Parts: sequence; C-alpha cells; structure tokens
Amino acid sequence: MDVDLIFQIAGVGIVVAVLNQLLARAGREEQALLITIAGLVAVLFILTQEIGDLFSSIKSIFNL
Amino acid sequence: MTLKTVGAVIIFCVCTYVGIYKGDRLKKRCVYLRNIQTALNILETEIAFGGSRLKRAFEILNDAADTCGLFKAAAENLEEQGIRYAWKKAVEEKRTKMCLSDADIQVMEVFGEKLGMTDKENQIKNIKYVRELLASEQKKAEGDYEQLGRLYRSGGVLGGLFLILILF
Repeated sequence: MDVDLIFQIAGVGIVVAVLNQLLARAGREEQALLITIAGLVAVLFILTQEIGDLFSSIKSIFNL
Repeated sequence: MTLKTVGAVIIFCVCTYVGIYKGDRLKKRCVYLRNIQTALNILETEIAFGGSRLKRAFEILNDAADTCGLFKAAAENLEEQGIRYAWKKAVEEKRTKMCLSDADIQVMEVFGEKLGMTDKENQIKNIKYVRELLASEQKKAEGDYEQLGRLYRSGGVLGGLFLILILF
C-alpha cells in the first residue's frame, strides 16, 4: 500500500478537525457537522480502491 | 510534478484570498455603517442650525465622511429625479462597494422615503430614528465580524488545504 495515502488521510483528518473546531466556536454547529461528514465521505472516496482490494484478498485467502 | 505543485499553489492562494476578502467585507460593513452615522449627525446639524439646502448639505457630507461617494451620487441626481428616487438609486449603486446587507439597505430606504418631505423638526426626528436603526445594525455587524471574521480567514486557508489534500 502507498504510504502517501496514509499521510493524505491524516492531513484531511487534521484539516477537518481544525475546521470543525472553528465552526463550532463561531456557533455554526450544523456546518461543523456537515464538514465532518464531508471529510468522512472524501476519505471513504479515496479509500474505495483499497477497500475493494481488501475484500478481494479476503475472498482469495478464504477461497470464498 | 511541477504542474501539480503550481496547481496546488494556485488553489491555495485563491482559497486564502476568498477567505480574506470575505472577512474584509465584514469589517468594511462596520466601518461604512459608522461613517454613515457620522454623516447623518452632520446632516442633522446642517438642517437644524445651518439651514442648508439638501443638495449643498449632501455635498458637505460627502467631504466630511467617507461613504464611497454615496451622498455625492444622491446629490448629482437630486434635481432631475427627485430626492426619493435619487437616494434609492445612489444606495443601490454604492451597495456592493460599501458591503451593506439587505437590512442596512432597508434602513437606508426608510431614511430616503421621508427625506425632504416634511418640516425641520420631522426631518431631525427621521434622522435620529434612522441613526438608531443604523446603530443597532452596526452592533450586529460588529458581532458578525467578531464571530465570523476569523472564521472566514482561517476557513479560507483550511479550505484550500482541504481541496489540495483531496485533489492531489
């Protein structure tokens, strides 16, 4: 697996966490939640290929 | 690789600029609301003690307070189109430059509707009323700036970083 991917996801995590705090401090809790969900979706989008690979390796390991 | 870096830098710069611009607009709104109140103060004095004609008073106000030439624009059209229309047009024209919100515009239009229609006492009453409304709007604008100014500025930078991380 590419190590850059881990750094990319960590970066997204940090940015989303700071944005979340900023919005919450400004009294915009709904938007803070929205940003968190957007971050989650973005990370899942980046990870789709890897998750697909994981499932196919599990299938091949257990001969499913 | 180089092209990618240039793209990332451009995205980051644009997002940061948008954030700073939005924060700056909030600050400008506070400043211009304060300047309009100062101008109304002077207008009240002009009407109460100077007895100047509206056009002359507007020209004095234009020099006295920085309102992006709002009073000058109104004074220019005052004679041809009448005060109500001239004021409305000037407010609409300078609205984006002064970063005013819809509520501010409504207050300014209330001011224009009664301007030059009644006697001296009523004019002064109208100016005082509008000044109070503007003062409450300014309070709100300052609250907005305190709360959202920092959010917009840091939000721009972080939004840029977020986009770069997602795209590259």
